[in-house]
Amino acid sequence: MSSADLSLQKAVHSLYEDHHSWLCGWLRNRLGCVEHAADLAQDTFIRVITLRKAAELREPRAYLSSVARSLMIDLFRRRALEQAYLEALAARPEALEVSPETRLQIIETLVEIDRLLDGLGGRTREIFLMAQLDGLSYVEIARRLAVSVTTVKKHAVRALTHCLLLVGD
Amino acid sequence: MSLPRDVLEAAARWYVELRCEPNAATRAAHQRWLDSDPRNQQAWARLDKLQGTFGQVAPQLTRSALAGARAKRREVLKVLSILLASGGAGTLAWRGTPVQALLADQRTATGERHALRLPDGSRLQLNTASAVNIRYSNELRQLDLVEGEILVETARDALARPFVVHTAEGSIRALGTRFLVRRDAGLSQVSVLEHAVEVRCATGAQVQRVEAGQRLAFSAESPGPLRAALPGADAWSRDLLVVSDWRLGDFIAELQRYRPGHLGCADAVGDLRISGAFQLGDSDIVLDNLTTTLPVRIRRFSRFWVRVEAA
Repeated sequence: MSSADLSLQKAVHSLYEDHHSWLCGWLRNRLGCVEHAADLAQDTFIRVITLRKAAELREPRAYLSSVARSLMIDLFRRRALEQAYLEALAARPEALEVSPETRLQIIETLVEIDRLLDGLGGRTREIFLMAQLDGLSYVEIARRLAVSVTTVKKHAVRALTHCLLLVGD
Repeated sequence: MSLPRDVLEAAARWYVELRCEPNAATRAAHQRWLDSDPRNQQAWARLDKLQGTFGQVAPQLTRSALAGARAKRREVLKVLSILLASGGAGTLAWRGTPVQALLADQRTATGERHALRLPDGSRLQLNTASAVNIRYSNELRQLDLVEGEILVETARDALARPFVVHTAEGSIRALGTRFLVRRDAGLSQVSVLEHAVEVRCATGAQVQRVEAGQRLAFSAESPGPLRAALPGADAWSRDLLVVSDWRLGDFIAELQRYRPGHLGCADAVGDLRISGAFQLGDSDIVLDNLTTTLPVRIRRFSRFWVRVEAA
């Protein structure tokens, strides 16, 4: 182990000792649930360790709470998608048996799609979804939205480019 | 390797072009573009990957899930932004909001019911669209009903810990017992099937005892009058809706809890009376059966918009 790794490990250790219970309390106050708070505190430290920033923190509590905050939002997004998916499934006329593994995989995919679409403007997003998910032609989308086909194509290119930038190789 | 934006944008353009005019000339030009630069091929492969991601879930499911999640998130983020900005005191203020429901330990979707056994052997059943947190400690067996309805059958506890159900409106302490708790529009209601419970409103000091065969609705401030429990109140735990001489309007409102979408009842038929036991498994069959016993017809505008009207 290099000396840099060693000092990082020390930094993480003291960060944990000094702030872990504070972070648990911070999260508990916001989530209203002890177990979720403990889980998220754990995830926060894991995130901090992977980012390898523990040694350079000037205001550790401000940093920890901002990481925890973004994890909380991720958790809400995920739960919202999961629940919406289950509701969508329940609303289908045919009964569908979905194994827990498949369900997990589908939810992963939905989280990914949701991430890709994030940051698109409302109109661009809608046009993209009409083409991608509803299977409508650009001409049909233009007719429905009462805009020109050129406009629809412009939005479609913008949305695709946005997703391609995020999707990675 | 990271691809420059203009290469990715070119790939997107080709995709759109090929979708619009998939003729031989466009294809040939596209092929020339692919061959001219390995980065173009790479960008095209990324497009494949993107399409693959979308291909993993049925398009209409993705559509509804994304739309549903956005609607939920709007509500949640509204609360969350206040919470994150303020200190910890926010927790109580967001009790009963969808945030709590999303994070709850046990949840059921609309139309779903679920039974489970708690660590001490007590039985818990969740009715449609319900959310419960289970908090057992060395001192207390505690359930938080966030939304919906539960049926509890307490078991004798080896540690003799009290059994308490909390709602935003107050707490219900079991005195060796079987009971229902339901949350509805700012009120909690407990119906006792066996033995008794004690109810304490969130902001009141008064304790109200509710005996078997009785029910009590209470707000955070005060308990309502004691009334007779409705016969068949726990029938949902056997997948039945049992009513005796109900207004049709009330019956339809109750049935609505078990189905997604809108189920309406025209005023003209709302006061018709109805009795019987109905299978909750398929509410469409229940609706169709109404037309054989009552002077009503069912108008289905779509799967999610149904109305009961005069025949």
